Amino acid sequence: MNFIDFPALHDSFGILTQSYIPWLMIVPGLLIGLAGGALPGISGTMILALMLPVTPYMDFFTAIVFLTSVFTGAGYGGAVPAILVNMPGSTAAVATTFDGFPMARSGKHNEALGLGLAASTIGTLISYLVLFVLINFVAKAVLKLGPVEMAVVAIWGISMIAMLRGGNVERGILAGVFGLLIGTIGISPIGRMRGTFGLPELIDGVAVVPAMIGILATAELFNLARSKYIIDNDAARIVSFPLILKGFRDVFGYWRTLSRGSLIGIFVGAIPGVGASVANLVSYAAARRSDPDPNSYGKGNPNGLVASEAANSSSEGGAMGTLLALGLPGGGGTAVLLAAFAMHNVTGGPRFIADHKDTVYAILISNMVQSLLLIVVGLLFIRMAVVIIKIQVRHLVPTVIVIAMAGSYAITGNLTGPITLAIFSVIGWVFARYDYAPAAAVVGLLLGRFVESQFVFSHQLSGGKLSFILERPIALIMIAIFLISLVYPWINARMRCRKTNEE
Amino acid sequence: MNLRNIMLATITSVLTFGSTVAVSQDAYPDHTIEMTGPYSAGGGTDRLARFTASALSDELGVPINVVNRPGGGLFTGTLYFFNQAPDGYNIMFTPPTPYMVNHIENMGAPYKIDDFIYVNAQEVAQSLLMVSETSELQTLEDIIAGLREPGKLSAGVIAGSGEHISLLLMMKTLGIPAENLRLVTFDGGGPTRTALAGAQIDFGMVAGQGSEVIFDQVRKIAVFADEINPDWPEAVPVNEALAQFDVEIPILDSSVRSMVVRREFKEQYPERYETFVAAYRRAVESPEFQQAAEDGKFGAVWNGPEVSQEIVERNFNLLLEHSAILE
Amino acid sequence: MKENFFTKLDRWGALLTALAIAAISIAYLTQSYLASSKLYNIIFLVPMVLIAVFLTVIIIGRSLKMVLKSSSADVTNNNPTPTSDGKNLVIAGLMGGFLVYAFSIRYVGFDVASAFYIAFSLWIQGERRIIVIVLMSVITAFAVTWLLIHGARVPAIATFL
Repeated sequence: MNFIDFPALHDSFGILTQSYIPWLMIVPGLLIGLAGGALPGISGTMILALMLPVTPYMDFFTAIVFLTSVFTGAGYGGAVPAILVNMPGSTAAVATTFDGFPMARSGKHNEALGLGLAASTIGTLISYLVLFVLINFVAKAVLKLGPVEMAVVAIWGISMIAMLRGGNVERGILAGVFGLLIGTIGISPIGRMRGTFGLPELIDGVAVVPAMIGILATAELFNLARSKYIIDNDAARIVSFPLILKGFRDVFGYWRTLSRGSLIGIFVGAIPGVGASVANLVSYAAARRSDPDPNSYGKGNPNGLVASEAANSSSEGGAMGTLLALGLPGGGGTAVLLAAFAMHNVTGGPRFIADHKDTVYAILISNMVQSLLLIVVGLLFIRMAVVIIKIQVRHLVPTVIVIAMAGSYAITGNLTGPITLAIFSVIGWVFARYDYAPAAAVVGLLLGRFVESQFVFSHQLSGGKLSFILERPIALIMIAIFLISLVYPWINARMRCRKTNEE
Repeated sequence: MNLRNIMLATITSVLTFGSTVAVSQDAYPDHTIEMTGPYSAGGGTDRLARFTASALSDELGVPINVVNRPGGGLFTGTLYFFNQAPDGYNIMFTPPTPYMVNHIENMGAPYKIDDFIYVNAQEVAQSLLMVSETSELQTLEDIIAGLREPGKLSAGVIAGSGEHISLLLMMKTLGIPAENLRLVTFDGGGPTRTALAGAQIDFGMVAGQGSEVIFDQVRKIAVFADEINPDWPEAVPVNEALAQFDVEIPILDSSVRSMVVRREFKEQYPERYETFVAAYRRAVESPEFQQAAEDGKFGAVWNGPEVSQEIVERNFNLLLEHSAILE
Repeated sequence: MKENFFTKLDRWGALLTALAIAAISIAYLTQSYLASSKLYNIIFLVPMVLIAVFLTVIIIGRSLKMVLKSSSADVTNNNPTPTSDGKNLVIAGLMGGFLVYAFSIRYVGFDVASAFYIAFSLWIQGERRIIVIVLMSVITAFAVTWLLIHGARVPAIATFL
């Protein structure tokens, strides 16, 4: 099989140069995505769904360029509030808060925003480049993944909980287990109501985004009330475009984390039903595990920020690959894209790739252009957003809290969101106060339902026999990689220890 | 295509997200109608709902705003709709069966199946049994032979769906214990289709309508319908294949995608109701809509309220009768 | 520092949190089991709840020792005690006000509730210029509510919009 179909590539330039209109849609699309992504509670999926009614007025290619631009913009938008006020704009930016916010509080807000943007755009670019070469293989690769392999991905995800434990091991893990349990409330795998205690609001489970914002962000905002500004040091509280640019350039110093994060993002994003909210966690975990100094994570290690942003952005490319190659959505955002495809009577899938390779290439190329344009648009966007640090905390806190409340209201469409937000803010504050690793609780909450389903599916498929896994070579390889990544830091430390002894 | 139109459309949509055009008129309808979609945006039913809303909006002369209220296996949105005023400005597009059975039986729904009028069952999806194209299973007889060996075959369905019930019912009718099959109960059509296309399971059953994307990677074995579906001539009607075993199973439709209004709407505003039904019928039967439906492979049948009511009730009663098999 | 109800509560905080988690977990499992005792309804919950109970026992064992031994709180300095000085009263106020805010939306609307919460937080955090409090709370609350209703098209409860 050929990697690149050159005649089709040639034809794709015809599509790309046919009209200037699609190109005009990129910048508005990116801005809408950035703004939507940056507003807590407004997810990329939601903003895409809101934009969907506009697209019938456009031709197919213009519509797809516009929607993917929104998608690309939203991929980075979530990082801005994550870094500046510890409030992830979407579930994909949870791991961005872990090191992004500590960086901001220590006065590295300009660099952190620039670095995040760089990781995000380069991650997107890498993912589309990989897709460009491997699109013919994506369908086959994705179809090789069954429930057992997904269960292994789930284990990768939960391993985060043990890492986020903070100072106190058993309390951190208890917080994670609490999150996993809360995450499974609602309709059980066999269609029964579970843990709703008669409340109709809980039928669909705890509203994840308001709960996440509550645990991670509002508790932190309350505590900020002790300070006059987000950044205590007056001298560090500056808005500097050169420093944003410096942060952007710094990304090349973290190329190892960047490329690992991008690859993880592509892989996790390509799995139908998983997507960016798992990818950023898996990537953060991998970065921390392979770092010689894992304890610096969570305290403002730029590697953590790069790992998260590279993965959540590149998972967009992975999801797009599955959408094009299989016609199946990898997550909420691509489900809306699929609807847009359908409105123009286009279905993805192997036949689409075979018959319309030129269109596929044109879509991939336009996405690469988008990620380059995101650099410019994003830099201007952060330059505007960063002034938040100049605002006094007493004015900032109520404003951000009211916006978070509105976002929670928007995401559930009723009062469940605001009330969930308030209750989980108190839970988050209590957890932080007594060292119960709030971040571990959020990871559990995000993964609970996914982990449970994949284990149930695996159990059903194997008929309950553990030996079934021996028939799954890919799952075995994935487990091996996981185990190696677990023991590697330990071996590494021993080796270094021996070396120093010898010297 | 005109750039100005796009810019205008974009700007209007971004700024106002479609504001209400309120013109004072006596006649119904005089302002925006809200159409509830109790599922998330982007799925098959959502797509059908949006196409229908746009055609219906042209006929009625007011905007129709599709609002997705997903969650709880379509319960959240259906419950919301049930609590809206039955004045003709709130309509819903949904598959009442199989979902409402679970709402009513297990979830304590405050509504009953005949609290609604099923104005038109616009698309009746049929269950299709498929195997991967690499599979050795060729016919329904092969599958039944495999099912008789404990633990040999694996299959996938959506948990609690019509297919789930039909499959268990078929096994029960043939005297095959349910434990013989390693049955994965997925949480949606997407994962089921992916697993089927990737041969993760030996066979799978999902709605045939909407499975077009995987048709290249699968073979269609049997359709759970009384007659051959002309779109999938190779799939044999299940009872035809079961005839050699001297058994027959009741036919459950996969889902009945339908326009729904509250019964009070017809009772309280009979003229509005007539206006609505007539406009909806004109919209569906218009040549443009029929053409778009043919191109886009979505349902555009006009069954009308009486026939639709029968379809929904037949499926509802069958589901109710046989849902105990899931236990 | 003199011990009062709050410092005492705070000293027992870690232990009470663990107990609360264990209680919620067990209640959840019981309710699920009553809903259906089928394997796939509880296969994931049972091990999770067992781990939660096990960890709770360990945590209680450890912190009980510390709580009884000394009067100093067994906490890291992540969050302050809500009573030790005025700043921390601010945090307690913000949090309590937040709960009131969330539950009052139903009765007074998102716009009014938001305006009151902003005004209250500004005041409790030391803002005393009436003009700033009034303008900021009214403008922010109504702008956000307007965007919520007309931008995101959420059928939000509001008094004035």
